[in-house]
Amino acid sequence: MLSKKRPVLFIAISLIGTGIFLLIPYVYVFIASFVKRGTGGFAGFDNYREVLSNEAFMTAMSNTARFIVVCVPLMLVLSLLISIYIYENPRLGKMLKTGFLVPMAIPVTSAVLMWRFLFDDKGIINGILESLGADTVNWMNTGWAFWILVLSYIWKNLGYSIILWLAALSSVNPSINEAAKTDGASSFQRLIHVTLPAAKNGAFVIIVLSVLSSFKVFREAYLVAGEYPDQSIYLVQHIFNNWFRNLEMDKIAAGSVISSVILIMLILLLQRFWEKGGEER
Amino acid sequence: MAEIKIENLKKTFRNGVEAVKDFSLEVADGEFIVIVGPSGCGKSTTLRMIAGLEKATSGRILLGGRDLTGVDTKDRDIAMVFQNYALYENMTVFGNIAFPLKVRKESKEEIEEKVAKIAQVLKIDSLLQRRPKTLSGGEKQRVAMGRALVRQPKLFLMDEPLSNLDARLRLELRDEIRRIQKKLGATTIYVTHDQLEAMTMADRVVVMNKGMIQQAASPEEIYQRPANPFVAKFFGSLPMNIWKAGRKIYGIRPEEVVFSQEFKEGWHEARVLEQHFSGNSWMAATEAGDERVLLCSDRRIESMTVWLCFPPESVHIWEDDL
Repeated sequence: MLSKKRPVLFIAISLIGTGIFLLIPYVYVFIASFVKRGTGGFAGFDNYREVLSNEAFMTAMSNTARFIVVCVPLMLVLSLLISIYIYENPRLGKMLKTGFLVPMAIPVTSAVLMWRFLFDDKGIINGILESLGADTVNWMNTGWAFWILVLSYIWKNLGYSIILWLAALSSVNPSINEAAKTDGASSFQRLIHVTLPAAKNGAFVIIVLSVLSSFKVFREAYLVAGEYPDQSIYLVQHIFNNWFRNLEMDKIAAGSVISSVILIMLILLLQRFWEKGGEER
Repeated sequence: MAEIKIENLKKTFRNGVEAVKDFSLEVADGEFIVIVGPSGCGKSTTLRMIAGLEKATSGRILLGGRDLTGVDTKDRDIAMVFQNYALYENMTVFGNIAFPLKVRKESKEEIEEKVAKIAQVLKIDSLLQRRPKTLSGGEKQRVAMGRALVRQPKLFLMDEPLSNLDARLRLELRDEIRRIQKKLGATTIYVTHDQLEAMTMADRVVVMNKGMIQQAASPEEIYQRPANPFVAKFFGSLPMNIWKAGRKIYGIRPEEVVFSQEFKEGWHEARVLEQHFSGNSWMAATEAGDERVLLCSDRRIESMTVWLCFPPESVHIWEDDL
């Protein structure tokens, strides 16, 4: 009997933690999204209707989506290329790896301070532009803000992706690559037909983690630009933050359910695609 | 197909280990060479240097007259079969065999035709749409061979291709590899640690130990005239009896030791220590003076003492210069 219980016992602690801090609140939020604020009565889909017709919410959603669409592929390709280089040049790679990992060790607040120094109206970059006689740019209050956020996200998370890619690459049986060499495949052909398909499962994890971490870039956006940043970096969490201040729990609940459903669907879709794709004849 | 000439090949690893000290060999067109030796003797490293997967410290390899020094593996026009099959899991059997043709941009029709033909030779034509993970070990190794054979490379390299298979399958595939190799006339270098595999398959056996070639000769010659005690001990299902006397080393195979259960004038008296039944004969360990002597008998030896005779024509003699 104990043998059946044992696995459950092992995961019990984290299961309890997940239950208390994630699952139960999620169920609560789901219920709350159908409840009228103040009266506590059943609201039907009113909350959802209100949220979906809220212009700020839609801007935040589309900004977040745009951020994911730009960042995730960019991050994947960039980190893959770097990790392949490190993988094939292990000696030089060791130094590079450390270099790419440093940003991860820097606390967000310190990093943000650095970004401010760089991109402030009277920051370093504008200083350089000025000394060159060029026009200064209002980095944080124009469309540039989005790209600065992309840059900071990539800079901060590149090392993590590289490590994950390296783990995926090193799980590929080296003799498969050697077989491809003797079969006459060029290094590009090997990468496309042999290495990447073999590292497929690793790649899935990396994509999912990148999507999730790109959701968290709010910290940087918030700390650099404050509560009401340029419209281009107004993210989902900004609006949640504002609703929270106004105690608009109904909207928060509906908004959370919508964004979590989108995220879950995105991951399931990816998974479907992954199981079917990548197989050659 | 082509002949290959290897001149003074050497490999010293970065940690100072001399894996291959001096390897020279000429292989004729269509010849089947088996490199055999204990693990760590440098046989796999030699094969990998021929394939270009390992860079030689010095020496030259000429394939069909072309110097391969500095030539990339993919441009060497060789094919290799690996011990762990190294199949592409994301492709079907067809895709695996077709891969070397695909990367050479051959036409679709040509690929279909060649794959079908080689699949027939290897008896895997019914498996073409399957994926590697659904195949048995023997089937996987056939697919790996198909992938290597499909484009008729100049040279065919095999790195212990049968080591992961069970004994019966090994026997079966051994014959089949030889049959296909003869049919295609493929110049082949085959690496194994199994002396029986070497004996039964090779046109010529190359015995290696400690990074050096000990002897390169036909299986018969290796067995009948081993160049040194190492080769003598390595071959044969029972290790050769070897002993030193003065500056010479003597050896005789257990099956060639003559014995009598009755006293014979001038024969060596020996005590029977233990006996094992091995199917078609008995193997007995005896002790004559200080030397242990193995011998074969068709029935169990009943007496505790036997008298041994070593026919001079069966005794190998080497100078003790090791």
